[in-house]
Amino acid sequence: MGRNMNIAILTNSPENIPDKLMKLPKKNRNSVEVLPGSDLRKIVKEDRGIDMIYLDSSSVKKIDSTVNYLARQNTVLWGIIDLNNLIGDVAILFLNGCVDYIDKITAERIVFSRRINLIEKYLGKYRSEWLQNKKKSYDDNVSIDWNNIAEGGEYPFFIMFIELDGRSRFEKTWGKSNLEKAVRHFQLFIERMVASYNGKIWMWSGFGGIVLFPFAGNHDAILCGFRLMLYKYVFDVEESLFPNFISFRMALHLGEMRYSSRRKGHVISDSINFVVHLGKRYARPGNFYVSDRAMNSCMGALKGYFVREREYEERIIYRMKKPVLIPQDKKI
Amino acid sequence: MKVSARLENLLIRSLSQSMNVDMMEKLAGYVIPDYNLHDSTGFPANIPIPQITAARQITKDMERSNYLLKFVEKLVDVNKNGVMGNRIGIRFLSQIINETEEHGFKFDPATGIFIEADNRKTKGWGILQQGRIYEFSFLRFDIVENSRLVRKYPAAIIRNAYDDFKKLVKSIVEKRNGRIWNWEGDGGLASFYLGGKNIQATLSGIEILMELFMYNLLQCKIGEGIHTRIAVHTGPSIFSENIDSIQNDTLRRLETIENEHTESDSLTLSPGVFSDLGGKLERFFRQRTVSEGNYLYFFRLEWEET
Repeated sequence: MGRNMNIAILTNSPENIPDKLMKLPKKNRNSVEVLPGSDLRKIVKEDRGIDMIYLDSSSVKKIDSTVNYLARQNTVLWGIIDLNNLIGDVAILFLNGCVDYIDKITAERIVFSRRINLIEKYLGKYRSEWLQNKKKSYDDNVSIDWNNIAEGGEYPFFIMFIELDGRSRFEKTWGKSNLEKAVRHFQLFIERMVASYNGKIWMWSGFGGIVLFPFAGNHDAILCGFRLMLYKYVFDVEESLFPNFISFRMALHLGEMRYSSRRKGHVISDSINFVVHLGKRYARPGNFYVSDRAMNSCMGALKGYFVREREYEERIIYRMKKPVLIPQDKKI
Repeated sequence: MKVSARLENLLIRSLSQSMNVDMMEKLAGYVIPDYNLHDSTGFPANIPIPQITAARQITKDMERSNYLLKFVEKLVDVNKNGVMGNRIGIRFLSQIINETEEHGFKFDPATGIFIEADNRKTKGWGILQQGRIYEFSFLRFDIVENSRLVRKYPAAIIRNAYDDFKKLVKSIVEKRNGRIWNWEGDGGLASFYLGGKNIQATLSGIEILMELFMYNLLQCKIGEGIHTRIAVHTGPSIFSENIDSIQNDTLRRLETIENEHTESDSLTLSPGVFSDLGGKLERFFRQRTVSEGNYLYFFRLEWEET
């Protein structure tokens, strides 16, 4: 496929699924997550960045009608995990578009990462039309860069919200000009870090702003956020004008917006609204959150450092585990 | 350093037009202790030395004893801070700095000293003199279980990964004005001399651990990744271009800290380094008792448990 493949195991009894089917090697570019089997229709209906689902046959009441339902879908690839041999006619699955079937014996024998490689080869050889249809709008724009972004055009961007925590405390205890200077310093740090990943601060107001990364089919925006969380400590020590350690929260989403370098306050974009709401209303101080759509482009190794959180505006949200550079027993 | 006639002339004019002979001799004494202008010029003690003669002699002596850079640094300091409460404006100072930089150095206003220009990176920053003793901060790093990795993985993979590690360490160290003094294949020694050397060495150690973590996560072809032990210690050491010939207590202690008291993927500091860090940076470290009254300070990148 040439891109990351995001796989979801849908089961109501994860304890019955062998561990080796629920994870891939750390450096594998694909990823696996386990989701409730009862959410099947919701997951298929919404674009959560999942490329393939494995449905645990014991998690649905009527497997035949579920297979018929899956046969009608063209947004997600599907396979069946059938550890209790509930499927009578396996061939029917494949005639309906299924791409894999794992029974108990197979589950014991397979190396899951190799299995996924085989599926990818199969897809490339026999199902290329599916790959072409999948997320066509994004793949068409794979080469988007700042050079080919025109005023008024609509493009897919990784949109990052970032804001310093503790605004009211700062405003109470700091003089205006000193505070402005310290925040400006922080802004320059963000500007420098995002520039390494082709990001630009699109809007900055007060204690934070919005950074845009033109979508280029890679995970640079997530990597940038990851590094910001890590390098914040070096900034704190080496450059920050704040006497104490700073804290900031970030939110990242992938979505389309009409690009404008002027009249930014007048840009109407669901994606901007979503990421700002995520950053302002949902995010906890000092954390980095990524929407399911943005997480789709994250490589497997990095995914291990994100944990699933509660949903927000009907999207699955992931939070980056926080790096601990200051020992827990020392107060900041 | 071969000094241009233009720089010599600038210094002579600057000294003779900015201060009297007593002040010239005082400034020269800051750089060369017990400097005696009468001895140097051959003028009897009771005969006053003409301004221009004094300026010429001091410039010549500084050049001959290889202290010219230090003397120019002193002039910059005097121009900024005065001498014992007296303000002294040094004439032609910016021209002197520019001309000195033409000799392959750059002036660092933060530290107030000249170091070699960016395109030259020698082990002694272009200013340390062979055989003299200086106070350094040293950072020693070592790849953990090198022998096992070499046996286990193909040579090409090991070579590539170690080359990447070397590039990573070099860029982090040189970014903070440090120099790689020695590279032994699976580890090495970096030194820091300028400015806040202990802070720069410590931050380099932390950044190496962070960058190595990212490298292992995203790029490393060795499945289990590369892991390192890093130690930082400060103390006096002789400077020599032949690094292998340098042996002293400072380096021996550093080796002991790295070998015997540092765990994989962590950084250990000696007390002398730790005491220099300041409020924010010292919070990254945990104190560990090595023996009664003998402490080391330890850092490791950890992750929130969920």
